[in-house]
Amino acid sequence: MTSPKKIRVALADDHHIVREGLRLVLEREPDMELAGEAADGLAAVELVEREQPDVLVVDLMLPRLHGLEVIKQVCRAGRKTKALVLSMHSDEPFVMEALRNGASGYLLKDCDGDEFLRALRAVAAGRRHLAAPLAERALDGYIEHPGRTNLDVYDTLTNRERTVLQLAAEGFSSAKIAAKLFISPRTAETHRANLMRKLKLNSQTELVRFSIRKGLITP
Amino acid sequence: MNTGKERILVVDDNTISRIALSETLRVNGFDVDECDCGTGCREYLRRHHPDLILLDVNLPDANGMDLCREFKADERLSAVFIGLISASQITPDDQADGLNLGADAYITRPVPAYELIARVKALLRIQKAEQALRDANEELEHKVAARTADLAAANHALQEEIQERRIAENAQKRLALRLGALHALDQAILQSTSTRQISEASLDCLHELSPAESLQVWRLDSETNRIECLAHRGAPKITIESRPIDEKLRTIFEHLAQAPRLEIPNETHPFVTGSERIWETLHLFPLKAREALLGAIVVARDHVAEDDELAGGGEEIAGTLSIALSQSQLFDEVTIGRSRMRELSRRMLQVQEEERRYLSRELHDEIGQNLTGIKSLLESGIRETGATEKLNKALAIVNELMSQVRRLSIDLRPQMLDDLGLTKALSWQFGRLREQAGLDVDFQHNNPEARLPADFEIALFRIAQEALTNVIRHSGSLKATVRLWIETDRCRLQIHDTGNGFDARSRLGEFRTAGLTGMIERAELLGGELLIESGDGNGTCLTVDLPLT
Repeated sequence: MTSPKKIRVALADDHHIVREGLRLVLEREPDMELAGEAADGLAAVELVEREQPDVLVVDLMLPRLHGLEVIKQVCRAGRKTKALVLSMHSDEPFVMEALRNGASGYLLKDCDGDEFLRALRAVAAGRRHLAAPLAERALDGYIEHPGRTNLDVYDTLTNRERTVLQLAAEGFSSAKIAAKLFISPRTAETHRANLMRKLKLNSQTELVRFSIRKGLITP
Repeated sequence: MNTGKERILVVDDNTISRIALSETLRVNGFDVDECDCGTGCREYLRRHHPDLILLDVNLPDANGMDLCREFKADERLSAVFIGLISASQITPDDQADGLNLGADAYITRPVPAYELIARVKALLRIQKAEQALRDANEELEHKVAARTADLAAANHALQEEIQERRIAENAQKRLALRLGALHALDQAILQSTSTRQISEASLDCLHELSPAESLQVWRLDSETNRIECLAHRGAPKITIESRPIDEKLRTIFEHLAQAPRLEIPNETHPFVTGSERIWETLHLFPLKAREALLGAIVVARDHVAEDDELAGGGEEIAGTLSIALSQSQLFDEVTIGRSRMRELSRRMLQVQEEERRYLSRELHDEIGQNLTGIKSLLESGIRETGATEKLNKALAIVNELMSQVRRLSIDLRPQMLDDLGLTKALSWQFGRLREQAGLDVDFQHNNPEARLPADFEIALFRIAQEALTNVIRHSGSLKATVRLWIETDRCRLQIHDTGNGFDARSRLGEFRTAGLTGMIERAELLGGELLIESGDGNGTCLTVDLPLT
């Protein structure tokens, strides 16, 4: 009977104790083999280049090169090494970022040995594995509310600036605007200059054109 | 004796004919004097002034023709008419000769009485007319002369007035020039922000008023006994920043402390070392404030124009500059103090954030890691020896501790911010607020991958945190919109709720709400501004605008 090919695992964590514990767990498993250890991000990248392990178990908070960056470099297209994150952070953005950078699995440091081994085997086989609490909680909070990226710069004007823009587009001079809003002409002029700077408008013509496009005034 | 009648002198040496003539004339109402020779005639004419002389051509001591010529040449007698009379020389040639000599008539004897009278009357008419003409002429000439004199006087007065006016105009022009210069100086002082700018403006004004080859403003530091050139115009180029004063300068400053100005002729520039150039005049104006000597304006010239404004203008400008300098020194001190304070605040915030970041990492990575280790131990203990109440309790405590440490670490400084950037950290923070406080945040942004300098990210993150805490506590609304706009040269964060709103100014002014002033300070330290709009029933809108330079 031919022994199946062993899974070669590399460890990257700046905590000696963590690496020690993981090594003990791995050594008990006949289908696992330790390919090497690294205590910082740069060493981890070098180790992977050199040893081409099947799986890199990586912490996010690494000195010298951030774990997220290590994952990005290790998991570039065409590389066989899979990354399994073992982190203290259970916050969704870290999980999402790690996965986006190419990680195949994400474990929390309080997981037990069995889950660790399960995850290693799944990842080595080309599947994904998320720690139970992450999988259960799902990532809905983050996924459902990732924010909108279609922000319009017009919306970031202050209320006053929007009012001044409207009046300026309607053709009122700064002095008239000031009188209408009960502010000093200088203040009105400042609002006008600020909003033009924010909207990157360089002239009254551009201001009017912008306002027409925006539907503030009808041509 | 003047009787009002015409007076006629009859000159004839022949007694009979003389009396006949005289009597005829007297009978006809003339005053007649008689004379029998040339000498007597001359004698008579020296004292009298007849209207007409009837002169016999043949006299024993003189020729009537010569006498006639003589009298006509006499200016004094020019108005006296002369009629020549002769019984012997009566040819037309004689008559023509007599008339050509200047005689007014030539009467030949014998002549009938009526003809004589008629001719005498005619002569006198002419004589009167001529006299009247002469008088009129004379009067006219008098009048012309008087008029000319009047005109000359008027002209003179006019010239004087013009001259006076010109002087007044010049004075006014100089005054206007000086006022203009001082006004320009005032304007320059209002717009200037540093003592150097103000000093330069003063020199420009002074130069405008009275051009000079070399002008400087020197500041005296009486504590260190050093002078420093604040501004210079013209030669020589001043390169030294500051130097100690020598004996010569000490004497000059002692004089200046007592006088409104000092004038030194034919001297080298005492403030500039190594210059051998001799100046025609050096003018020094002291700069004083509250009796203390601050420095001096020094003007060196080789040419002095007329109507020179330097003395008066210089004193006035020195006065204005003194006030401006002493004020601007205070202003400089305040500005320096403020920028020092700002720098201190910035460093304090930096140190605080650094410390928080360190503590946060320490808590999360070290203590958290150890707690995880303990947790694993406890769990494996439970697996191997079975759960006991104490082990379960210990496990529960460790779990609680772990979440406390995690919360504490995040509150101190979210690692997310440093690792993933502002947009993602904010997005995650809003998720937490939703879970913890039920706040519904609509987060809009334009550039989620952009990274800002660390102090900008932390400032914006803290401001958002603080603002949303305010929304939860004070607005009475659990809805907010957050907009984050990042472009290459600016970034802007806006937190808008639809709650109660408040009067930002009264909050700031009366309560000095620590959160608000802290937010404003963070924005200002980064060279930006924070604006709060509220109180129009449209909730509260807080906008931070930061330049990214």
